[in-house]
Amino acid sequence: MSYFKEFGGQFVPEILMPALDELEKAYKKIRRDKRFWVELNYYLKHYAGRPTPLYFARRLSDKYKARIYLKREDLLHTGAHKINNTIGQILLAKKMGKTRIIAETGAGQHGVATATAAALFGLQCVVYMGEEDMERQKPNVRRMEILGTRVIPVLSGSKTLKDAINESLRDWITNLRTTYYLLGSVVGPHPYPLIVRNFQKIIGEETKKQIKSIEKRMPHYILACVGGGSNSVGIFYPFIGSRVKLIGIQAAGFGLSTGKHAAALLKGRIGYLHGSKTFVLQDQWGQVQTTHSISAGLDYPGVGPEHAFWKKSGKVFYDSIKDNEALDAVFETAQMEGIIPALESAHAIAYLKKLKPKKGSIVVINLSGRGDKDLETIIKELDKEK
Amino acid sequence: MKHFLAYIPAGYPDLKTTERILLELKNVPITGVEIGVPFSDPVADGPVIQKAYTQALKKKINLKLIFQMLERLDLPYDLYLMSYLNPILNYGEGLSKLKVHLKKAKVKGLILPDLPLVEINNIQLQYPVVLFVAPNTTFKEIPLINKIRPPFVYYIARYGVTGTRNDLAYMDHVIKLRNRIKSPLYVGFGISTPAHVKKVWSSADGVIVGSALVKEMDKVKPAQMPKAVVKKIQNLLNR
Repeated sequence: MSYFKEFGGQFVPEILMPALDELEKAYKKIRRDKRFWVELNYYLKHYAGRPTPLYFARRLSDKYKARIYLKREDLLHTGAHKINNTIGQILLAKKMGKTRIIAETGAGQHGVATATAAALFGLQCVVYMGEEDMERQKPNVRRMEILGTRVIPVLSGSKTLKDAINESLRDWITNLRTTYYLLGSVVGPHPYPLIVRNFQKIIGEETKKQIKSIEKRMPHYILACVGGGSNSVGIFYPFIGSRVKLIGIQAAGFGLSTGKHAAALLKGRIGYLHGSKTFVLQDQWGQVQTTHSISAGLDYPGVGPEHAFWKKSGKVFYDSIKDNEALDAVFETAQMEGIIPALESAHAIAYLKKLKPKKGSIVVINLSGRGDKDLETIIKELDKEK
Repeated sequence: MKHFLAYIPAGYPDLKTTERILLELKNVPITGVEIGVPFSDPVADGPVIQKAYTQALKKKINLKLIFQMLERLDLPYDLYLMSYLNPILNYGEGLSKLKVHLKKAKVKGLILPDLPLVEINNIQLQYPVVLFVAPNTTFKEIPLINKIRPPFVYYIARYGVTGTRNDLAYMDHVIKLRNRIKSPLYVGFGISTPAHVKKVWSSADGVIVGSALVKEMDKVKPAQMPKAVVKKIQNLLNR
């Protein structure tokens, strides 16, 4: 099945179909292959640092009169959940005999995680990154280069993440025999949304075990930010259909009514982007819109098709947080817990103020990445306020 | 008779020029024109067509304006509309009016580069759609193609996006597919020389030329573009 009910599919040029079929076949094989999972788990544990802690945030809990837990994906190697997926897919690429890895990146987190995994397994790696993003995220560009990856600036379209995905697809169409396209989120044509979800669902599986052992019960709420949607799908998936209230938080940028945001699930129409039928921010004529968010990782006009399905079926509730609210949450978390969260994850933490959890309720927040990469953005915003 | 399909991006550099090109094309013996609808995210296209689309979109070109232009014209050749799915299925005047507007514009069929065979039945368009085949298409796809009976079948003659060079290495495969497909088979992608056209015509029913024409447009001022396109086509037809 290539669909999540009506969402998903494979809306790509015919010439890509055999590559998607090949990928699906290879993935089906490793899914049942015990040795593959033993090898993956070895690297996740000894190299990436899994399992990540589920940390009881005492001072935040006191403030919000709830029991707040942070799932510490920020402690993983390279500083975000992205590495769960890149190690998994690199192992898959190796099984398929591919020698060249390509990837897109927005903020650079997926690019760094891909460059890292490619270096670890000695594979050639090329990362496409919008020229504008390269400017905004210089340290990550350097990190990738140090890791031996070639970063290619994307000059087409809006010169951001969506255009980097377009350019990766074009590269893949041209070089599909040697090349593995390592997509970084639960977007794109089938089977990517499925593969990435299944490599990320370990976040939710661990959370389930950990909260059971600490609290002896399931949480009341799980909060996660949603751009393309990989960290949120990862933590939500094992809880879908349970009583736990799952809340996905999108980037409201300057505000949902300003047109400068990245909330495809709240303001988008059903459309076709990057091979998938899903909610897309677009104008009256079906042209994909440029988005805005303070966090580059949420700055994307589409969203994973499984989220589209969860939204329409009501399995997950979606809301949004503005730039300035996310920024406040960075400081609150830093100064109350000694953790600087990524701007993406700060959207989920900021939602505590909107949620106003009932006294004593248990809230798990996916702290999907650490904030080091955002220091420059944060400092700039501080200077503006002065 | 062998077919020749010329691709023209709509609204590049403006809609007036597109109209003048279409009129000028009355003077060459081509059988069809493929009008490209600009899109923000053209994944199957190379830099030449991407640039044309970006520029057209800056001028606020949309599908309705394209239809209005086509309605006014009386052209001796077949018209096809090449568009990515999203501008079609999110047509600004409403999907219910799309079919009427396509008919009024005398569009013979749609060419949808991000609609592969496997998704063809998941889209409800009720309008003739051209199907794509590629060097990796197998015979098992053919019954479906023959059941749908598209106006023609578009053979993507190489791995890569539009505008990339082509050594026409897949002509044996073209012949094999042509023998089994009931609709006419046209070959496109990277066709840029008279030798290419000749070679394609010896194995297929038609040839599609796109980026090579847009490149000629790029060399001259807008006023000269119609003549530049015609000159290139004459050159390609000059056997």
